[in-house]
Amino acid sequence: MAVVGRRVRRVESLDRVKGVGSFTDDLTYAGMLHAAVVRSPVARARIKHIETGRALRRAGAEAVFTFQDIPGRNVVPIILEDQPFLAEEYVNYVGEPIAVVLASERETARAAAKEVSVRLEELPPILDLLKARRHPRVHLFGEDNVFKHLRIRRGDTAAAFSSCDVIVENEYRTPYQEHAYIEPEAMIAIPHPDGTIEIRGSMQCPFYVRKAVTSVLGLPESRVWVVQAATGGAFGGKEDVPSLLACQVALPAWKLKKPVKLVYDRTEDMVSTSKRHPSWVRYKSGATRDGVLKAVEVEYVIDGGAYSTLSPAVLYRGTVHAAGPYRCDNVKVDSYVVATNRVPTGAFRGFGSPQILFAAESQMDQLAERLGLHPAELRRRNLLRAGDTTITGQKLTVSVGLEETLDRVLEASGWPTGQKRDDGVGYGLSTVFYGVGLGAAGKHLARTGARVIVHADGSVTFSVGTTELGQGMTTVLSQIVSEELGTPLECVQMIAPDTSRVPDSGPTVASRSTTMSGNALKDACGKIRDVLLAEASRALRIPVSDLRIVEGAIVPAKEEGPSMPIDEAIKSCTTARLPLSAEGWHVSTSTSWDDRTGQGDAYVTYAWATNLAKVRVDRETGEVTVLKMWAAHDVGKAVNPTLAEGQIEGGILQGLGFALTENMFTDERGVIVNPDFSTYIIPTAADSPEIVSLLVEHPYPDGPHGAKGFGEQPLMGVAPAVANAVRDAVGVRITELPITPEKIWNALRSSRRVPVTQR
Amino acid sequence: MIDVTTYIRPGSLEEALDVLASGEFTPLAGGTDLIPHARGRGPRKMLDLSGLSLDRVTRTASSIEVGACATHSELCRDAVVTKALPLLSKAAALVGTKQVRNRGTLGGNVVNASPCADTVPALLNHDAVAVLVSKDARRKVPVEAFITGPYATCIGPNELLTSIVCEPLEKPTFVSFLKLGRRQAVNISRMSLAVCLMMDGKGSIKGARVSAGAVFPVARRMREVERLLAGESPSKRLFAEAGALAAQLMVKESGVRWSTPYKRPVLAALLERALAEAASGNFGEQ
Repeated sequence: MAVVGRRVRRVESLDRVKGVGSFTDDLTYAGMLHAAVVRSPVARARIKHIETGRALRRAGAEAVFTFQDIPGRNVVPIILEDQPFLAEEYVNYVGEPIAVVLASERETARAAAKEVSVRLEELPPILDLLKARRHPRVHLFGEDNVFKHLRIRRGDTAAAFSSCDVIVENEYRTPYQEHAYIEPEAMIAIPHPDGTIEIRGSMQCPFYVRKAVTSVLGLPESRVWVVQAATGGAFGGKEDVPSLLACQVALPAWKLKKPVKLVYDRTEDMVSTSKRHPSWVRYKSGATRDGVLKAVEVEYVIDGGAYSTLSPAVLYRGTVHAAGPYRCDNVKVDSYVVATNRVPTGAFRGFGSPQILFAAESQMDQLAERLGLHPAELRRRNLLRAGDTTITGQKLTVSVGLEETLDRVLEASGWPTGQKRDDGVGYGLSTVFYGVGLGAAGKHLARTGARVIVHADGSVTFSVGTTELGQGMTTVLSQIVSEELGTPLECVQMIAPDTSRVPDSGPTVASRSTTMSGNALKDACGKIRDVLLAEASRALRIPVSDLRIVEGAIVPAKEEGPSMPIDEAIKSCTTARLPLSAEGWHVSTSTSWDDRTGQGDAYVTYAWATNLAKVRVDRETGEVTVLKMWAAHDVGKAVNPTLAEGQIEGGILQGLGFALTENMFTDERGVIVNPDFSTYIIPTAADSPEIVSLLVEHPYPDGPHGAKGFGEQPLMGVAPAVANAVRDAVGVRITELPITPEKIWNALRSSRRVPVTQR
Repeated sequence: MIDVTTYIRPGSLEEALDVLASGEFTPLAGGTDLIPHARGRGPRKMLDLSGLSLDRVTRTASSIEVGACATHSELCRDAVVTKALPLLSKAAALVGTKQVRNRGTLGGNVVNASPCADTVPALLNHDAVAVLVSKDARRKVPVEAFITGPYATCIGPNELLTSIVCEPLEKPTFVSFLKLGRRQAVNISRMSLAVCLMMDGKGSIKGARVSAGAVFPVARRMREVERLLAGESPSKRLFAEAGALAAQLMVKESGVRWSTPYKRPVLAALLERALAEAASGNFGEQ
């Protein structure tokens, strides 16, 4: 393999360093107007009247649109279709869109938006997720405010617990996590004279955006054309939210026949767009004296906010990952996503799993402590290996490199196992896994397309339906195309993702781009290779089956014999008027899920990881310093090891924010208290510990060159590793994120030092 | 958007003071506080000070005069400041980020008068004096009196802070500066402590200067603590007493808030630590 597996530089790196880019706010069109959104100032109210006169009298203001102006359906189509695009009778969260104001300048639009007066009859909001579930009087969704309830029933937990030697039971909580992408949400709509409308913007999922715009404008899909602009980070925050923005620009653009741009400012973005679901978990685990995990019972409740958006899918992933990467024959999971009068929560790297894994991995360490086992040893006795069955009854056959990730971390870290020193330094472990792709909850979307064109000069362009978000997809896919066709990497160009170039390829989520688009590209490239090889076969008089493409030439599989440079084969095909372009298509292997028992082949395959955190805790201030982290990930095949390591480093830092500092919360009226970066504390580069990234490669036969998706996994096990390290360092167990100095200090004060098991 | 209606960048101090005489202009130094304010209801008329060469550090026989427009980065690397005012240098090094330190100025930090301004406790320990000039007057106000409340000073609308005069402390003096925040950079102080211990020849504390930021509504010297330390020999018990006294003062003046149960013991512990660190001589001597 010449290109796949190589540490080539990310395609965009140089441009980003130089500040070259075509981000949405860099784009401008003749006659373009600017939009601003009128939002609900309260968490729950009935709308009595919307007064737009004053706003329209402001110089430069052009128009105000409300739900009454929508030609199609007033709904953001995601899963359950409960979310209006613009509020009609009720508002259900602070920041809910009510109207869109248009003006010639952005500041004018924003000022005019403040002058739209909305008369509201306030209603008491429901803000607490546990109170919201089965609330006796307020019904925000259905009868019980539960968007979705999922269950896993496996074995007999009651009987199993009675045979356990140790049982650990605890409650855990995690708060919002804000995506904090560098570029806020941004979108432009450009209506064309031929009756089509073009949407360009910052997004993960062009096909979701297309669906939303067709629905709101009442147009066929053929007339809505969506192109992704350069996107400055997403992390799940640009999965469903861009659909809202696209409608906020498409409606006025369509009505006024002018291009419309909308860019959220940072506070607006933080107040009104999705975040990681806050969670509450009750977790009971039991093991026998010899360290075998016998039974797990979990109640998992997450706050979906006012509308369901992606919550059922988020809940699905959390449910499947509820017991961690372990064999366990007796499992009962009940998970709920509930409706509250808070901002709708949605996708965020890990997608419902980091919250439950924080609980699951904290539990494992407590079991180890009670059993007098080293945390690594308890995990080793229970972790999933090839041939084992998951808690959903899925039989694992290949690409199960979990134990090797554990070995690699233990080996690299030299984790001291002797007498524990009283120096405030501690180590904490987590082992986690990640179901690759959409899984059974999204299997209807588990297909993707690609298009590849080899030009007469030998250069290649390709198109896919998944998007570049900073994760490095463009580079990885270019490497795959280069490998398949023998084209030098610098001659391979990806066209910006565009709904007019490939069929609906589903969303760019679930760490699925490398495997899905990679496979679709392989399919397309394979068709072109066939043409090239057939042509070379004719010229060289060697059967196609005996030819291969190696470093820019078609050569005989056996060392001897004539060869043909690729360029020449391409020329020859061009002369012969043969088509050197092809469409590729990939459909995932099947997955399944029984809603009643939670049994089935939940995901096509899994990535695996072990994290180890070394921390120092200041006993007097409660401050945690993360000194070093080791992380080993089974990625199947690292198409680009540098980019894979980049994912690990970024995920760890984002995970450290979730673990230690990021703490967004609402007041008693449902208003987010800290929607800015001086009070919502994300880690900086200066906060990054030394990170040792280890790549483990147990190939996945259905992935391109053996690759699995894993971009989300680096974040997922960080918080429990840190919590376990804090416990190891100073003997306190923190069960609520973030692990702030105050919480550690309080725990130290009240615990009077529960001794840590010596080892 | 920044809605600035008038922007003037004079080339001389006289010209600047003429403009300021109208009382309508806000001086703009590094802009790290002012520009974010200007996005909201901040000032609309700005007087850019960058053409006035107010960034010099001058040493006289008894004092060091730091130009108001000296940036935090300059305070970190200026040979005179790092040697004679190591506390100020250390405090400046903990401001914001590299980018903020490259733009932000000492004068700006003082005039903005945030309760958690990093340089202010260091300045207080050096009996710093603000030099204020206007078209027809010039006056000197101790920094301690200059800052009158959270984000409030006694500067007049026609006045410009041109420099800050600091008194280096007699030798041997041991210093330390500690800051509690929530991360390693762009870190707004939750607590900052500047400590100077002036020692006599026999190992006793002749005099002490202890200032706290983000602890009281306005950063201030803790003279009660200084008196407790003066004349004593450094000891763990003494420093613990000093810490306890500081915590008491905080609760008395700032009242009990949600953070008090945590901050009270942590202030005590941090001051104890800062004093021990100063006494050890590890942090720096001047």
